[in-house]
Amino acid sequence: MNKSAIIIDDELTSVEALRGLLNRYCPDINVVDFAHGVVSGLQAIEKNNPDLVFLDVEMKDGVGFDILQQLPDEPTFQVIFVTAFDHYAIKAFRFCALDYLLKPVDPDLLVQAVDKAVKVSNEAMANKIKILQKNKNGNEKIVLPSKDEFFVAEVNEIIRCEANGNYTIFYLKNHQPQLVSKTLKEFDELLSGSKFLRIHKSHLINLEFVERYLPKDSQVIMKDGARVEVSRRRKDVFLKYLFNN
Amino acid sequence: MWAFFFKSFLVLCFVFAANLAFAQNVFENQLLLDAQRDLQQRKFAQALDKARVVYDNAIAKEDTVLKGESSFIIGKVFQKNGSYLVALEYLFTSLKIFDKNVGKKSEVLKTLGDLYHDWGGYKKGLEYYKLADSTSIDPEFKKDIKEAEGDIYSHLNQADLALVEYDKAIALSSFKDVVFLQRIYKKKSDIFLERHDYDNALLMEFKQFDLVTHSVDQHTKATILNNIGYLYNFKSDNEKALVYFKKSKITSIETGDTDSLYITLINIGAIYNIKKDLDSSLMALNEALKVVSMDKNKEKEATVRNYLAATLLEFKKYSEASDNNRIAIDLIKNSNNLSLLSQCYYIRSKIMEQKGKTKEQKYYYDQYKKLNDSLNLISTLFQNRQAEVDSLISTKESKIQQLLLNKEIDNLVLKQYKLLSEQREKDIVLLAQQNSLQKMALNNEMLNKDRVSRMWLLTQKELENERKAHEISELQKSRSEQDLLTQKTAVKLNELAKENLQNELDIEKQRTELNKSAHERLWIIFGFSGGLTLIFLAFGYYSQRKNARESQLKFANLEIQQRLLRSQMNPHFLFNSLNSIQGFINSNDSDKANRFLACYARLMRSILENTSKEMVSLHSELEALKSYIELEQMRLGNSFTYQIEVKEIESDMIAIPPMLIQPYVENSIMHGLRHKVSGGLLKISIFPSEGFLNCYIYDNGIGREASKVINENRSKDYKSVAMNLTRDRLELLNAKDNSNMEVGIRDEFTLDGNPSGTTVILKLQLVEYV
Repeated sequence: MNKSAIIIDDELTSVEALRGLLNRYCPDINVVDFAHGVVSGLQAIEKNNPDLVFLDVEMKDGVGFDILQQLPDEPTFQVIFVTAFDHYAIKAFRFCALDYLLKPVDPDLLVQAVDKAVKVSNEAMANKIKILQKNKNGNEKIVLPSKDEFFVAEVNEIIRCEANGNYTIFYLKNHQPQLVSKTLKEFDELLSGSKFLRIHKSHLINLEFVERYLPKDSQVIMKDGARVEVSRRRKDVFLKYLFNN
Repeated sequence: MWAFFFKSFLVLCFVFAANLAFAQNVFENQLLLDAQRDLQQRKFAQALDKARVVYDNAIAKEDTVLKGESSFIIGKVFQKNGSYLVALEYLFTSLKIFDKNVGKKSEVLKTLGDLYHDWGGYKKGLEYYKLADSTSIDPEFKKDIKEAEGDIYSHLNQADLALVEYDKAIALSSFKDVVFLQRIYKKKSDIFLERHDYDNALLMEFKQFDLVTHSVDQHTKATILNNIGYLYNFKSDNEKALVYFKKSKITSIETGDTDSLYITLINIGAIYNIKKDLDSSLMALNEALKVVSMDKNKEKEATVRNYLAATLLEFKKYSEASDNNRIAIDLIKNSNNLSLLSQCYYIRSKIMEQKGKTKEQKYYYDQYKKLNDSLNLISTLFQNRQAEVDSLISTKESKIQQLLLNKEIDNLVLKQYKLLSEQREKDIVLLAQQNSLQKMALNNEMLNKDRVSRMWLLTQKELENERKAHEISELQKSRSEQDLLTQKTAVKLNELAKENLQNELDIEKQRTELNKSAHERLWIIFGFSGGLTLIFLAFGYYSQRKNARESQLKFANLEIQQRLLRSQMNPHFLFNSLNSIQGFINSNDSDKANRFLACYARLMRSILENTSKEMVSLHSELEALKSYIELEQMRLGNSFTYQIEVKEIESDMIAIPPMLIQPYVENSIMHGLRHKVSGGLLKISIFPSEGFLNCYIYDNGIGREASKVINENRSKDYKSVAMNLTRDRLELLNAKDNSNMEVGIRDEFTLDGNPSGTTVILKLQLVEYV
């Protein structure tokens, strides 16, 4: 069950901190090498062919993404991104359902991320990274993880999302509904902005797909014909957004 | 003899007090000095920060002098900022402490006077100035009081009394005090002019001129020369007037002062007009046009063009007159300068009269008349309101004073009272506003409705700046109710609201401008000979502008304060946390160090993120709170447990101001739970009720009384600075959003009467998060 890992981070103390944590909390992970930048990172990957790469997002000679882009082939390892504070990057990771850790690293979250990385196939990882790179100019695609696979959706094809316990059902244009293993709260945070609005505790809708509003029943009819309830308290907010867009 | 004793007694007192203070409170006194300097430099946030620290230390040390000094400065900050109610509380506290300290007492009294002066409660202001005056023995200080008293009398249209006070101010000042003396002479000159006492007004201008020639500041010289010319014109001595206007012209060219240059040029044009010298008159006015066209200021250009039109009209060049007048009207049609617009309409009607177009003449004359009437109506309306404001303020003040004198002040009662009285004040304003709108509509059926509302807003702006944003939204509401304002008005209102925002941002700039304008107020004359006997006083326009600026000073820059208050997090907590980490490292407990560090980082991240926003989702606020509580648990060795329950709402759909609950939780832990050996419980319940979001923070700790006893025996390590700040913050948020959020504390008891903990009840506005 032993897995090999390398740590790529331009600060030696950061490397040491993470190695210490891995030794203590993830004894199955062998840190076989480390590197301090994009160039040496690429060499380390080539030399060691690791199972797992901890990749710092911002380094002196480039960002972590550069390494992934400069790989000769598709990555054959799992990546866990590590960053101190970068909103933009974090949002990008979340859109692709990629794991990331924040510095200083929380031991519990480290164990969780490593456990997950061990289970995911390298192929799935390579696909997520592809989407991450495609999304560079804005988050156009989103990875929707389900029990043992994932679905890639265009953000502007999402008609609405509905809470279902700890799951969320995505209703999409031209596709079957998808049952996704994350809460609606998480997608609300991720998608809310000009287009998406939470109109009910169980409903997040894409305002561009609103067909009609029925004030009497306090319902919206979406372009796919679905009727969605607008909660009493959200009515004002909903109307304001509807007319501003 | 007595005077000597009194003086030496004072000196002794001072020396004694100073020695004592400096020996014990070097740090605090330095901070106070810094705060005072900040205050002078109008760095309110910094001043408040420093004074707060001193205030908290003073309370911990039970040092009343320090408490008095710091509350004085805090009060001053809030006064300058327009948070009058909060300011009153601190100033009264300070006043009580300095009851026996003559010098300080008079300073506090003067500030109270300033507060009421700014607030519009002139009578109250006067009372306090008089008290300050009778208390003080320092001529430097007394002269400022006299000036302020004079200003109030002049506001109240009691010119004689104002003159008396100004004379006293002059008598108290030294000859070196050039800026002060010049300002007072200027004020006297204004009063004389208003009473048509031109000789005395001239005297005052000459006195100013004397002062200025001896000083380095040549900037105001042109203005004074212009005003002298203006007054000679009133005395029908046009030759002398022309001489002084020309002197003013040369000076303003020398100093590069285009503002006084264009006005002086208009005046020169006017004099030549009176002398029937058309060419010279037109030459001067065209020169003025050149000056203002470089400025690209619509109002200035319109002013010049209208005078040009009047002159051309005088010499029967109707089509040219008509053109210039038309351009002037177009330039200011959409501005707020209604008196200038009414003047333009007047000239238009005269042009039409000459052209023989009776219908048009009548139309424009009516427009002029109506604008003028409305302007007059508004000024009477505000005069009537003064009595209302006075009585309102005095009842409010006596209530507050009573409550403060009463030793058992219940903070909650005070707050509720304040909320009530503020609400009442708003109601009165609203009522007056609606009444006057109706009145105006009746009186001016013909008048463009759009203009009524604009005019109302303009005057509103001058007197009601503090509540402006709120009232604009009220106006918008009343639009649909009364069906009085048109769609176009809504756009205008929006513009004004934006302008309002801009005003807030520009406040600092305007302050400097105001200081300048006090010296630079310029007068324009326009005399028509022959058939036209109207005299335009651009002077009126300038004083109007000045008032508008003055009231802009009262703007509370709430947003800045908000940011300041939000950025507070008890530094004790931050550094004690780091200390705990050090402890774990040194005891080789890497696991605890790691977990503590991760939690600490999570909290810092939340604070950084949340405090940059005005509102955050309840969910993320609670996440931050959890990190905070878990840290405290680790620090205190898990001696207590906690529960957070949110009922009937989705925490990620509700908005709340960041870091508002945390200080109270900190207080519960530090003063209640920390002293409990085991079985401590912290329970936070959040639920909606009647449009409010209730937050109950309960701890089963030792209770407030017992905690007080313990804390008396300790240093003030855990004195929560944040609690006070949160109280101020709620106050500010209430003022800004017109809401009634409040906080109360309930002591819990068991059935047999033993203390069983404390509940803090926060009543916040229920706001949706998007």
